[in-house]
Amino acid sequence: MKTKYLFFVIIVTLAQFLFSCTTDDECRTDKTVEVDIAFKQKSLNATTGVYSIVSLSIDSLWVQGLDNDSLIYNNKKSVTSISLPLKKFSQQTDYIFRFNDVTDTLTVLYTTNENYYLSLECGCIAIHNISEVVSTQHFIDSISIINPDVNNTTTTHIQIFN
Amino acid sequence: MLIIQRLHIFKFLISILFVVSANNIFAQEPNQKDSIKEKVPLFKDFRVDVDISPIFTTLLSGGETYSLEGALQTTLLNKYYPIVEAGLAGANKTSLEDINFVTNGFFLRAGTDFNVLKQKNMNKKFTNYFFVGARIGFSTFGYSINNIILTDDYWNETKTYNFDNQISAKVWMEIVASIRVEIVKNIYLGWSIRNKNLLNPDSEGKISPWYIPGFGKNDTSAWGVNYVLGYKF
Repeated sequence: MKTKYLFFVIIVTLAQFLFSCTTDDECRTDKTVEVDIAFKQKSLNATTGVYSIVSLSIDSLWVQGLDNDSLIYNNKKSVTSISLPLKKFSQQTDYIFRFNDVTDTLTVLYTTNENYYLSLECGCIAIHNISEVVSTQHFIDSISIINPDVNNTTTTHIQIFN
Repeated sequence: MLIIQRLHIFKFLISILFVVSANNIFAQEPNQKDSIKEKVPLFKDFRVDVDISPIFTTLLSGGETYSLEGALQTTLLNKYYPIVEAGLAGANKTSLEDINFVTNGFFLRAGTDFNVLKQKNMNKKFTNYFFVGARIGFSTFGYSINNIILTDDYWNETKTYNFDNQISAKVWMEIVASIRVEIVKNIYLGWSIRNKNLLNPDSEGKISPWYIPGFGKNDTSAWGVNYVLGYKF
């Protein structure tokens, strides 16, 4: 009888492990939501006569939000891609780009889900779906939307062509 | 805690279980073939269990969750052991980001067990059980999630969201292993270990409850342990 109770007590104590291992309370998910833009150019292959899309490096770049005093990129050198914050509670965000000496205004139009729920530890994030991108054409020749879903995963959303 | 670690602990516990039950498994006596075929009663024995694990678990969870439950089990045709479990449970948790979650609800589980332990003869002084069984669980409950703050640092905007009085209904399946030891006449002590699987999880991006009464922390699957005091009548 005594050994039976001993086993019982051992099992009961060991079962406590199932309760004592609780999950960490910290948010482990990346909550950064930004629109990723890559600079591209079309390059002509002399022998085949076929255009291909290659990366474009901007020598000096300044980017700021319209009506916002702080610069997102301040004289960044040799830039091929950037990440910009969209207005979380809006459907449109405007930016002023300065490529070397030339200035352009870029406008991103999108729909927003303001409270995409992640978890109790992380809370919510605002995610967007880009519907249109327009700009002035001093440096920028054309724009392609590669991936309209802007959320907390990293992927190129827009390509700007010179 | 990783699923792998939980599985290892579960395997270890089950192996200890077999050591315990090895002392109790007896082969059927050969003279049973000659005995008169006894009339097997449809229902026999009713046992009421009360879960006494809240004493430990409420302390271990830091008072964030509570769960009170009881069960009624009977013997059917001397082979099946149908059981109904019911209880109240809830949670009140505030995360590190100051988001608050509150729920209170009622749950119900129904299922049946099978006794893996062989009895030497039915007149043994103490009947012990090693059950393996399944359950369907159900809970309907309200919950609130408050104080979700979103800040837009570059554009200088902040919004706070509150989701009050959300209603949810959850269904799940369980596989249960239980031990019930008759310590004195008609008084039972034991524990149950359960593997639960949610049948209707919430889709991503939608508000979902952090804790489900009768199930535990919201996940596609969860483990649970009960310590039980029972009375047979």
